[in-house]
Amino acid sequence: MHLMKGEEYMGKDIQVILLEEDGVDYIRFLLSETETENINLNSNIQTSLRDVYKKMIVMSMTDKLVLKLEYQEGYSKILFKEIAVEFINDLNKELDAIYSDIISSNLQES
Amino acid sequence: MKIDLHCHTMATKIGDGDGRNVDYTTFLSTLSGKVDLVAITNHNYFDYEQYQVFSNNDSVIVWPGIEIDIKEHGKRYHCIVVSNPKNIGDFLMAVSDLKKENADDYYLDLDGFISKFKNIDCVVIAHYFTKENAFKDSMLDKLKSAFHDINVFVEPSSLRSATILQAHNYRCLIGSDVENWNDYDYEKLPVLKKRIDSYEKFKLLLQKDEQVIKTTLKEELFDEIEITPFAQYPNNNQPLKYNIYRDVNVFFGGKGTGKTDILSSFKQYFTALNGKQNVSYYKAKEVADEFKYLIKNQLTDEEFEKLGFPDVSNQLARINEWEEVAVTPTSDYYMWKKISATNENNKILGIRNAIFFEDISLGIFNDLKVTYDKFKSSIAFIETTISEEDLLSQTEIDVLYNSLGIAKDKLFKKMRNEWIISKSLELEKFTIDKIKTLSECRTGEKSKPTDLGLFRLYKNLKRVEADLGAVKNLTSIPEKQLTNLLGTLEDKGDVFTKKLITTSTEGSYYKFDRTKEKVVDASKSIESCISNLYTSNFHTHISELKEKLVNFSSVRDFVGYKTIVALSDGSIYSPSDGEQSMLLLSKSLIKDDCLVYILDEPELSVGHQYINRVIIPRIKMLAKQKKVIIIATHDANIAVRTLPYLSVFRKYDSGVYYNYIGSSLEQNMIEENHSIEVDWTNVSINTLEGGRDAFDERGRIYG
Repeated sequence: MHLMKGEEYMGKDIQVILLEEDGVDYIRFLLSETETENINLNSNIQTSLRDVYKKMIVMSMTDKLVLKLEYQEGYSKILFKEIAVEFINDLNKELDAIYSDIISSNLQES
Repeated sequence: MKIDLHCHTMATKIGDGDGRNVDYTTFLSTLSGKVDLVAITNHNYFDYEQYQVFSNNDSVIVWPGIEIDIKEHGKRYHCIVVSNPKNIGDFLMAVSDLKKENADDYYLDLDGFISKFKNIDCVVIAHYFTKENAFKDSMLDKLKSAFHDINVFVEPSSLRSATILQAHNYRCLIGSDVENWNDYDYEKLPVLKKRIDSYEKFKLLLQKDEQVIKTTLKEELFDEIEITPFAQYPNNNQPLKYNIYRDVNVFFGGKGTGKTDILSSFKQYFTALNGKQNVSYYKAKEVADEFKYLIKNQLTDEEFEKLGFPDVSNQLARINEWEEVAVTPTSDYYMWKKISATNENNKILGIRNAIFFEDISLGIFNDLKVTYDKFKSSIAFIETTISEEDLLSQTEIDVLYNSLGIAKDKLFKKMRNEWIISKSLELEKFTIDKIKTLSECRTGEKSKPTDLGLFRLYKNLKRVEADLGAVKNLTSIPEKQLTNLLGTLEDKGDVFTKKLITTSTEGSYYKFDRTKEKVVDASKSIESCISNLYTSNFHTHISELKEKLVNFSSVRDFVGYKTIVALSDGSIYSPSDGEQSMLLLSKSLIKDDCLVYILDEPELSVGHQYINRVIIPRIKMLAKQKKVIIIATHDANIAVRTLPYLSVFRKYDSGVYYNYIGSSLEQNMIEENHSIEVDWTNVSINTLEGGRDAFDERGRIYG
C-alpha cells in the first residue's frame, strides 16, 4: 500500500463535483471509476467525511492527489460554490502536507 | 603437601633393580609438582655428591637419609634414618664408613645402629608389621627408648596396615620405597595438611606438638562466632561459641543433637555479615522443594532485563489513549462563508481566516526522552563498573567521560528541540483558535475553520499504525534463552536449567503472566486493527483492542516462558531424586565467588562414590581457597577425609547437650563445660558411618 523505496510517486487528479440531487446539495468525490463518495452539504451529520478522508489517505500512499472541483451543469447556488471552492482549496493544502510528510518519511527511511 | 621419606635413588645392593637408579633430570621431572618433600634413603650408603646435586632445586625439598640393615640373631631388619639437613655434618660423620661397594654385605646389630645414630638430630622409621624385614616389638621398644618416642615411626606395607596400627596408637609413615622410577607410586604417599619449609617444623607437626597445631590453626581462623541456635527452646537457649576457620568445619553426632539448628544459625550469621549472595547453603532435606523451585516457571524482572526485548511501553500507552480525530464538518464552512462576504471584520482581522493543520504531537519527544533516560542510566552503570573494577587509567576515563558527556548533551538538545517545536505549534494553534473564539464571541459571527482535520487524521492513523506495528513485531522476535549451570552428574556431564522466553503464542507449555489466552486475544486484535486501520470501523476494532490490553503495559506482558532441565547436548533431561540431590549439592559448591559454604548432611541420597569422587575434592579445593565451609554430617568420608580444622562432636544424653571440640590435627576433643575429653579417632569411628575405612585417608595425613 505504501510507496516503496525506488517506486515513482505518481500524480493523480480526483474529480470533485458540486451538485444537487433531489433538492440536496452534495460534494461528490469520484475516487475511482467505481468508487464515489458524497458529502451532504445540507446535513449536520458528516461522519462520511472521515471515511472519504481515510480513502484519500490510502490513495496518497502511492499517488499525489489533487482535487479538481467542477460544478454540475446548471448548478447556480453561489454560496455553495464559494463554500466548495474554499473547502476543496483547503483540502488540497492538507493533501499537499500529507504528500510532503510521506516524501519526507520515505527519505528518512532511505 | 605430599612427602616421601623412604625413597631410593640408586641401586646399592644386588637385590636392587636398575630401576632404582635415577638421574637428576628424571628425579626432578618425576617428583616436581607431585611430591614436595623427599628423603634419599638408599641401602647402606649415602652419596653426598648426589644429595648435593639433587637437593639443589626449587621444586622439591630433599633431605639426607639412609636405610640400614640390622642383623639380630641371624635375621635382618631394616630401619630408615632421616637426618636434619642442617646437621648434615654429623650425619656424614656417622655414615662415613659406609661404602657403596660394601652395601650388600653391610649390617649393624641394633646396639651398633643406636650407637651410630642416637646423637644425631634425626627421625628413625622401622620396617614393621606387614613390611619385609619388619622389626620385632622388643626391638622397637629399644629403639624408642634410645631415640625417644617422638622420633620413632614405623612403616608397614600399606595404608590399610597403617590404619590398623594408627588405631593402636602407633605412629606411622609410609614412603614410596621406589623400585622403578618409571613406576613411581604417588598415591600411597602421605599428605601433610600444612606446607612446611623446614625439618624442625616437620618434626613438630609430626609430633603433633600442641603449640605448632594451635599456631597453624590461628592462621586460618575466621573468627570466634557466637550463635544462639536453640533460642526457641527456653531450657536450652544458651549461646554457643565456635572458632570457625577458613577451612572445613565439621559438626557430627547422632540425630537430634541440634546440628541442623546450628547450621541454620550460621547461615543467618553469615548472611547478615556478608550478604545472601556470599553464602551458599545446601540442606539435603529440602532438596525436593529447592529443585521444584529451581525448575519452576518463573522469570524475575532482573532476568527479563538481561534479554533485551524492545521497550513498547510508550506504544502501549498511546494505543490505550488513542482517539479518533474530529474532522471539520462542511457546515462550519457554510456558517463562515454565509457572513464573510459582507463582513468588514474579516477584512480587518485576517486571522479569522487563518488555517492551521500542522501535527502537534509529543510522540518524538517522548521516544527521545526514553532513549535519553536509558542513556543516562547506562552512563551511570559504566561509571560505577569502571570505578569498582578499576578498568581504565585516569586519562582514559577523562576521554571516555568527555565523549559520553558530549553525546548526552547532543541527545538532550535533540529532545529539547522536539519539545520546543511541539510546544510552539501548540501555542500557534492556541493563538489562532483563541482569537477566532474571542472574535466569534464578540461578533456572533463564525470564523473560517482552522483546519479540516484531514492532515491530523493522517498523522493520527500513521502514529497508531506505527505503534500497533511495534507491538505486533514482538511476535517475530526469536525465542530467547537463559541458561544456568545446575550441576554435574558423573555419567551425564553438566546439567543446565534453561529458561526459554518467547513472544510467540505458538509453542506449548509456556507460562504467560497475563495468561496465554489473553495474549493470543490481544495479538489477534492488534492484527485486526492493523488490517482495518483505514476503514470506517477502525474505531470499533481499536476499542476492542483497548479492552483486551487492560493490564498490558510493557513487553513483559506479552512474554511467555518455561524452564527445562537439559544436558549439554541440549536434550531435555529429568533427573531422579538422587540426581537432584547431586545436582543441587554440586550447584551449591560450584560457585567460586561465595565466602561461606554451609552443607547440611550432604551425603543424603547421593552415595559414597559421588561424595568421594566429586564432593570431597571440591570441598578440599574450596578449603585451599580459604573459604569457610561448615558441614553437618554423619558420613566419615566427609568428616575425616576433608581434614577439618574444626571438628565438633554433638552429643545428647539424659537431657544434656555435649559439645566436644577438636580438629583433625588434634587427637583429643574437649567438652569445656563438663571438663571431659574424648578421643577424636574413637568418636569418629564409632559415630560416623564408614568411620574405620575413612581412616585410610587420615593415615596419609599423619603417616
